[in-house]
Amino acid sequence: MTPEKSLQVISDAIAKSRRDFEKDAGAPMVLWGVIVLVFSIVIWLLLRATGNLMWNFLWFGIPVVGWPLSHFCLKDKCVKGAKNFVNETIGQIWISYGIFAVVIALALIFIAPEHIGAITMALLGYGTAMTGMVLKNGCIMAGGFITGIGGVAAFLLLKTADATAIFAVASIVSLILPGIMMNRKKH
Amino acid sequence: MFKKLDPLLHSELRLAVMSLLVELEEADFVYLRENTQATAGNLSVQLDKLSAAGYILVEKTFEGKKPRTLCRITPVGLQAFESYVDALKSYLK
Repeated sequence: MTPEKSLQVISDAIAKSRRDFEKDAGAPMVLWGVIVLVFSIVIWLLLRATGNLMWNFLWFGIPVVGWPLSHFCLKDKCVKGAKNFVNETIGQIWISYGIFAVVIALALIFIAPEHIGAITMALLGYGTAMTGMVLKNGCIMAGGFITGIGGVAAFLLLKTADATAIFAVASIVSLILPGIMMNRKKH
Repeated sequence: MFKKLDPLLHSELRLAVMSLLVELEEADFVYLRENTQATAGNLSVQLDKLSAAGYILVEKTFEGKKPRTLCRITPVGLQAFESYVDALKSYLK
């Protein structure tokens, strides 16, 4: 085997593996982004129409709907038989986000419910920024910082019902757009 | 001056396996077979050689009732791969 052939074998194997993992890599973010977007709009409309804060309990429907839906919709998009470091790390960032968001919301719901939105928004921005850093993608990182910092500021300034709409914007900036960008990168 | 190429890595199939594992946290036998287009018998022999040299870790597990062979690169394997690529560069200068 010549040195040129050796290099060819190495670069072909690495390129093949990367192609496998880049394919549909943004699909989970797009799917969760759409779920958050739909819930945000529905809850925002219900809060505006009725003024009943109990509609905020619908937020807990996100993981209830999201987990089975993502399992069902994304099972064919996972690379079978192998794990790579980047995808595993990103998956773990978002699992951590989900755990933090649910636990903090449950912990604060009867003590300081007015802070749940801002904290969840900061975590969402943090998760997106971390994803951007792992992928070395400046646009995704920027989306995370805008969501985290801008979202918290907006939560502090707006009334509860309107603040809910921030989640709709955040889901687009921090999940849907970065997910679409990740999917486009493969081309 | 040409550096010596590691004979264990200077084989097309073993080099392809190591190149895949460098990129991955782990890969099973089926993934490696499909991505190297090797026969099961040949791949099995080459994995044994890499494992015997301490370049990869081979773990036999089960996925449900199906047996599954998982492979991971070891720090020794990673070092050997890096040295191999360095040696290759000396031939291409």
